Amino acid sequence: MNNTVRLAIATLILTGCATAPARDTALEDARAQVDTLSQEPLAQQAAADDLKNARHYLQEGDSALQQKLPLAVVDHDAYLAGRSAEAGEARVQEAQANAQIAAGQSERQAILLHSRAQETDIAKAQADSARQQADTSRLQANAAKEQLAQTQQQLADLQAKKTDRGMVLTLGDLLFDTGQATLKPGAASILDRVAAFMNDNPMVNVRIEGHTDSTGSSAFNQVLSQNRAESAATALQTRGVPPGRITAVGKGQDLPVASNATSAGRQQNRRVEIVFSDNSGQFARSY
Amino acid sequence: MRGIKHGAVSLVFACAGFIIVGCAGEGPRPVEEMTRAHTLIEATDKDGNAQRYAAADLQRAHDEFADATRADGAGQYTEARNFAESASVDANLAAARGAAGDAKRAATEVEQGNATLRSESKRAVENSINAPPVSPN
Repeated sequence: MNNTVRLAIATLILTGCATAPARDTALEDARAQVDTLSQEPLAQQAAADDLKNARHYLQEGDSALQQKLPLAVVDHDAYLAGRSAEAGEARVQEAQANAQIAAGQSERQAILLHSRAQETDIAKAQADSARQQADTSRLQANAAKEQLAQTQQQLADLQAKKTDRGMVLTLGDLLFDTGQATLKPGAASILDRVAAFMNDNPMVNVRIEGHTDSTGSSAFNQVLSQNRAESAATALQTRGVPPGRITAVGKGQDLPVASNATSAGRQQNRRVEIVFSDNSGQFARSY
Repeated sequence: MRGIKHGAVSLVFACAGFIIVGCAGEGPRPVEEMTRAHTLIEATDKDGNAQRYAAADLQRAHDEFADATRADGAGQYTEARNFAESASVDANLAAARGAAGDAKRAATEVEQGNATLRSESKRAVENSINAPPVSPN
C-alpha cells in the first residue's frame, strides 16, 4: 500500500468520524419536548413508558454526540426521542379526557337527581296548592250556602212571596196617597227593611213594577203605575241603595191579580211589586 | 504490485463503507427490532382509533417498516435497525394518538349529553310550573 492511499484512508477515517458537531438542534428540540412532557402532572401515570423511552433515546443521542458519531446517528436518536415524547403527550391527553368523562358522568347523575328532586318538589307544591284550592272552594261553597239561607230567611221575614218571577214583595195601595204616586209615612218602615236587606245582600238587585186597576184611561194608569214605581225606587235610593241595582217600570192596568169588578179586587190590583233577583243579580225571566 | 494496489483500493472502499455507516460496522442482524416493529404495526393496524385519528403516523410506520425490510434483505443491518426503530415509535405514536382522539370524542359526547339533559330538565320544570293545576279529588 503506497503512502497516498494510507493518507487517504487516514483522512477519510478522521474526517468521517469527526463530522458530528458538539451540539445538535434536533436533539435539543427533542429534549425540550421531553422536558415539557415530564412537567405534565398526569405524565407520571399515563406516559411513564413513553417518558422512559424518550429519555433513553436522549441519552443515546448525548452519547453519540460525545463520541462524535455522525449527525445522522444523533438525529435518529432525536427522532426516536421526539416521537416517544409526542406519544407521551397523547397519553396525557387521553388521561385528561378520561378524567373529564368520569366527571361528566358524575355530573349526569347529579343533574338527574336534581331534576327528580325538582319534579318531586313541584308535584308536592301542586298537590298542596290543589288541596288549598279545594279547601277554599269548599269554604266558598259553604259561605254561599249560608248566605243564600240567610237571604231567603230575610226575604221571608219581609213577607216576600215566591213566584215564578222570583221572590216578590208587594207594597199595597194603602201605602200610597189615593190616586197619587206619593208614599205615605207608614211606608217608611217596610222601605227601611227593604233597604237594610239590600245592604245585607249587596249582590241582589230589584225590579220595581207599578200596577193599577182598570179605573180611568190606560194611558193615565200607565203614567200612574210608572210614577208609583219610581217613587218606591227613589225611596230606596234615599235609603242608600245604589240606583244601579234598581229598575222601575210601570205596567199600567195590564196585569191585574184580582178582578176589577169588585172594590176589594181593584184595591188589590193597585199595587207596587218589588221583584228580587237571585244572589248573583239575575232575575228569573223578563217579560 | 498490481495485486497490492487492488487490495489497497478494496481496503479504501471497505473503510469508506465503515465510515459511511458511522465507523461502527454493520452490526448484527436487527431481528429483535424488526420483530418488535412488526408486532406493533400489526396491533395498531387492527386499532380502529389509530386508523381514524392517526392515519398519517400509521402510514409512516408502514413505510419505514418496508424500508427496514428492504435494507435487511440487502444486508444493510444498521440501516434496517434504524428504520425498524423508527417504525416502532411511529406505530406507538399512532396508537397513542388514536386513544387520545377516541377519549376526547367520548368526553365531548358526555358533555353534550349533559347539556341536553340540563336544558330538557329546565324545560320540564317550566312545563310543570305552567301546567294547569291538578283537579282536587
